[in-house]
Amino acid sequence: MRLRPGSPYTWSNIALLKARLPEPDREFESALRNAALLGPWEPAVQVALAQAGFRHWEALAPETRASLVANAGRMLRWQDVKLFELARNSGRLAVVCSLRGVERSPLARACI
Amino acid sequence: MSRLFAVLISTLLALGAGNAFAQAAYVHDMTGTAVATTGTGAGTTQRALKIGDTVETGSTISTGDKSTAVVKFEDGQVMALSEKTSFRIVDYRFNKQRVSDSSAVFTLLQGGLRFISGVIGATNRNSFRMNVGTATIGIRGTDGIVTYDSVAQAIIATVNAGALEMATPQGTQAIGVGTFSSVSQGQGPTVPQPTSQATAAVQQVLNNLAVRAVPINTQIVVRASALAAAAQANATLLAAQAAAQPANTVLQIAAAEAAKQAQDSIAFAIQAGQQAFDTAVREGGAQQPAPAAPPPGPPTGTTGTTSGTTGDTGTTGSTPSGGAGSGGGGSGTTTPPASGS
Repeated sequence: MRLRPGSPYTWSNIALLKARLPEPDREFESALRNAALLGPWEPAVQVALAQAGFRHWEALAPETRASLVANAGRMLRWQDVKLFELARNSGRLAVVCSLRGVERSPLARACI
Repeated sequence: MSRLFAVLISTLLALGAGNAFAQAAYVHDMTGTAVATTGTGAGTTQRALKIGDTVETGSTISTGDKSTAVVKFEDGQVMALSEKTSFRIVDYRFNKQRVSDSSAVFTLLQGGLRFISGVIGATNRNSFRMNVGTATIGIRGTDGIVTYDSVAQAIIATVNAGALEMATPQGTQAIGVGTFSSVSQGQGPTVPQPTSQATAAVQQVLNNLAVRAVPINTQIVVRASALAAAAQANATLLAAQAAAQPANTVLQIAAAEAAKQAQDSIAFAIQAGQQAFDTAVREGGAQQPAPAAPPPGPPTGTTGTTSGTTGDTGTTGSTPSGGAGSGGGGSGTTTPPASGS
């Protein structure tokens, strides 16, 4: 992290590793938010954020959730298939279905 | 155009609001053939089903050979039927003013189905009951699979999320996640065993039902969701036809219009469902149902091996227009943002 403190990949990898913990800690939330801040349009970062964030959704602070909702909104434009897959696999379809513009995805029928 | 469409749907919903015989559910998805049978004796009527058709309480839904159907109820309950399955909606009443007074009673006459409970099951689990042969299945959770061979009178029940309770005159068994129990003719339910210990044939049936994509199990307005499902099915059909005939301008325009109409109707259905749920929470004490279990297979959750997360080479993908400048990703020499580490 000292070598690449501004890299969104560093933070998203930390988030993915921390997501394996049974309980998320503050570092996990910081890693999520930093990765979203530094690499909002990086496809792999978007996927990592959704993977890690959806897993511990219930335990996240409102601002972290807001950051992940914004990330999901960006994913919806370019990676909707992956987004729906991750949401389905983690039981967070409700998060994706409440996104503005979700109806534009061919997969939006999962939301009705 | 979209405003006109929304007004049209609103009018349809208003007309249906006072209908005493409101639809209980709609066909969300299907492959092959399926029919709905209503009435008894000489008054029996049968109609072929298609995506977007609605069904009422008292109907029996039957799928044909190599056919499947996904039916979604007003409270969000989802039933995914496998081939050659007959399933009866015995008594479905969703009381939005007092959700705990609702009822969801079904009978599996033959075949197999996966059920994912909705608002009724989440609010009052005793309201849900499924009769299968001599057994009665109650839910203590969200997501389960039941198969019934009416000839051999053999029942198998398994749980993907939550728990089930299977009762026969000979006994009762609680079934937990990842386990199954079976009932043979004249016997009580077996002690639950891990699903991995089931026969290969049983595992295949259970797996086929578990992997089917199912919609979210949240409350809906049946008419709005039915219209949306039909609109998207129409759009998909026209898109395929338009792709096959790229020179046919009329078809291209029709496909584009159908796609727009499908988007509008889906947006409206989502919004209508959310509003209906908010009202049911406020006025009827409705509870949000737990989500369905993820489909079986290797977890995609936290493997830490997502391609590109070791990146910083700038080659992980293009930056979409509108996104440039909003991020600072790259080879990091910038000051790190606020950190907890």
